[in-house]
Amino acid sequence: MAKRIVALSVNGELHEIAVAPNRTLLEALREDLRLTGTKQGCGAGDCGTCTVLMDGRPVNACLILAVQAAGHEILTIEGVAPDGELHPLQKAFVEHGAVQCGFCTPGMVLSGLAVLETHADPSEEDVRVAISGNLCRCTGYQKIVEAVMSAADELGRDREIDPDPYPELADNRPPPLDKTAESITAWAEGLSTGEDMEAFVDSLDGEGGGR
Amino acid sequence: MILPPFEVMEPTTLREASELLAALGSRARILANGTDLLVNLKKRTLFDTHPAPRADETWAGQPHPLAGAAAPEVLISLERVPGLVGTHVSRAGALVIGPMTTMTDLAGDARVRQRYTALAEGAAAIGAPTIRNRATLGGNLCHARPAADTAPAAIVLDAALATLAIDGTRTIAADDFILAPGSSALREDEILEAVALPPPLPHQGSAYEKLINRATLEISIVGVAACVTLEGPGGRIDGARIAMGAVGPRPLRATSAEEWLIGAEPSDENLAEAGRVAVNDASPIDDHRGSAAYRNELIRVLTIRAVRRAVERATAAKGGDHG
Repeated sequence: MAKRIVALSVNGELHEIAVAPNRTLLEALREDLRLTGTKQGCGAGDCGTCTVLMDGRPVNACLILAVQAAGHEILTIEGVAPDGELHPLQKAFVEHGAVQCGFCTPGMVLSGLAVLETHADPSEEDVRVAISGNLCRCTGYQKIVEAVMSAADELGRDREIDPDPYPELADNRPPPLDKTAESITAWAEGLSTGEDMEAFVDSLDGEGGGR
Repeated sequence: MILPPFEVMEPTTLREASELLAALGSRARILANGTDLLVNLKKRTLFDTHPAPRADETWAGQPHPLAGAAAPEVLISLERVPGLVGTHVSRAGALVIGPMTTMTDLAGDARVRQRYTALAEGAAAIGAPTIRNRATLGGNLCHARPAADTAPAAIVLDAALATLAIDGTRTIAADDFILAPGSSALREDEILEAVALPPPLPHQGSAYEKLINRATLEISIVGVAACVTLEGPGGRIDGARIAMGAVGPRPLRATSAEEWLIGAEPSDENLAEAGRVAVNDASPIDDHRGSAAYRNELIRVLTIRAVRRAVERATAAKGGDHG
């Protein structure tokens, strides 16, 4: 359970942090990077309140290990309005009363953003499917759908879809292999049979006995 | 929910991964993208203050996903292994799918949608967009749940699963892969390397139908996949494969229905009879998602629907090319 250094690309910035192997991306975002806009809900992928965009796609940050996230581009709610100017989708949430208690809102905005970035002219069905993994305990779905549809109008339903909406994220994309993986590769290169693994297996016993 | 402690290894080749697996045995588990495994590990933490689930323990009316299994000390992540994502057509015309291909990519793949439609529909039926963007075909199959939505499709499409271990490779038919809840034909030291679908026959079509209580983030009450080959448009049924999920301890073939259909006209009467006899091939249980009696009725109805849509697609399909 020794910590390891991972390089996470979050909102266009590269962060090197030391994380335990069992640290989730959600924990790394909230506790190591202090980006508390991403919320923790069920922790099991059922509620969607921890939704972030990974390489442009909405995912549950509670079901991704921080070590797995290295090499991918993460966008959190903090990166949607980096300069304090609300994104048209966020403005639409405000105007349509799509925020009630607010707990699902960061995830809803990111799922809404993902559908707007892939569909210039989304149907109501497209929007409902896009937010179908995000639960709103206030049951304010209608206004959330209206806000996303209104933002699609605002952005222009005949606009061209940008295949790479966050080039600045790609600029900071770390190399696909982190230091740990490279060291494992070097270590494993000389291996031919399981015999060489004994030392490693023993080290696991010594280090943790674990649980 | 909090994850228990474990080590993560990130090999960069399948060989390294298989060496790690061979050395660690049951102390390690392969980690694909974790939408099932990490949830199970988190739920396991509930048992830290209680005994771990016994081998015969049930959970939600089914054998406990972790029954009798020790939590792994090491996760061997396939994240850094290249070449496990995406699809390509082999020289022999088979569609080879990388086990780390996500449900989103599988459901969106033009070839899968056109020629292996049941698999695209199974992939699209899983979870929600946030889950489908991570959940992998290999993970869904190796997790070996009786309700896994890609399993009936893989079975009717006669998928071959290629596995790798340090002492060699082998191929397992999808029909023989899932053995019992949480248990697959994979040996402890084997990794799923690829899923291969044979080239589509002329006038072949497939479909997957499932019933759930709501459209997303729901486990199937019953799922039925069908793959039908016609003599030609409007002709008799040459070949039929039907597989059912969530109707027994593993996905089951509806062989009685298949036998009824082969050589028959794809008429409403014959489809209705196929639905009636399919029930005989299943052994559903009562649980919180539905009673056995309700499931039997669903098997009948969903079999008719799946076969009907497979026949429609077989009628529209031209030849054996990849369209």
